[in-house]
Amino acid sequence: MSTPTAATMCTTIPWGGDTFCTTSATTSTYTTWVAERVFDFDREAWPEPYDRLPRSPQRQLRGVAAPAIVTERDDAENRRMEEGAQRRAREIEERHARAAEVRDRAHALLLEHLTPEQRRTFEQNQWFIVDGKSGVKYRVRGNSFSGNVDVLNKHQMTTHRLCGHCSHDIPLHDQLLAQKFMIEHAEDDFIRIANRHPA
Amino acid sequence: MRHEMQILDQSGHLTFFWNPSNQDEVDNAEEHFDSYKEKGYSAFRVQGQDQQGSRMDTFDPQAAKVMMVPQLRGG
Repeated sequence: MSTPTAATMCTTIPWGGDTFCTTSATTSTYTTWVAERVFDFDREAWPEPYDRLPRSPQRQLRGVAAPAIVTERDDAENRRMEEGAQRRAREIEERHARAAEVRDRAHALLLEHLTPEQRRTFEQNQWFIVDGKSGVKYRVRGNSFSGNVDVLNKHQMTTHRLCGHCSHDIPLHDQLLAQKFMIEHAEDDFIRIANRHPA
Repeated sequence: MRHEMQILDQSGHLTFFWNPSNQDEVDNAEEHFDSYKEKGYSAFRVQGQDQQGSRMDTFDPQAAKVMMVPQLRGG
């Protein structure tokens, strides 16, 4: 399919006794071809050059063709698009690096505020036990900040779960630290705020 | 000697320092403390080798370390 040099052109192509009209619009950077035709896809094969046109599922329906658009880009446009893709990839990488840094800071802060036993169980099993002022023990699981607090009975069995956490933009390990402080030093408030779920 | 206030937020945590013998720094720290309390944060004095805490309702410039925890909600 040749690239027209003029602004807007219409090319008429004979096909199967019918005529087929294509229109194209040329800008400084790319050329767009639009094909308009009613096709019977069950009986007609795409004629050259239209076999290169993209086919959407809707256009598999008998007798109806949706307009097909083919875009040809020149070198400058290709370069511009490649640079844009590279810039986006860099931004994504930087965002991931920042998120990893935040995660590491929060993790370090949590470990700093755990007792040696809590640190051991957290590193081994991703949970730690917190003692409330009432004497009740709570297991704070580190797999999530939602519904992650198990209320334990004297046999270390879970009687029910509590769900109380900060807003979702706070890093996970900061959430766990917040839950630990609240359970240890504001247990009544934590129980009042948290929603209760079955074990 | 520098005392510190750690505030849990989206960045992991922020840290503010103050010298209890410097009144300007104490006032600045108290201002941060009050502003976060108004937003619903809970304050805990952190002490001991295991960094355990106790709840604070008013700012104490002599507290060596303060942890500000965002408001929790039921989920």
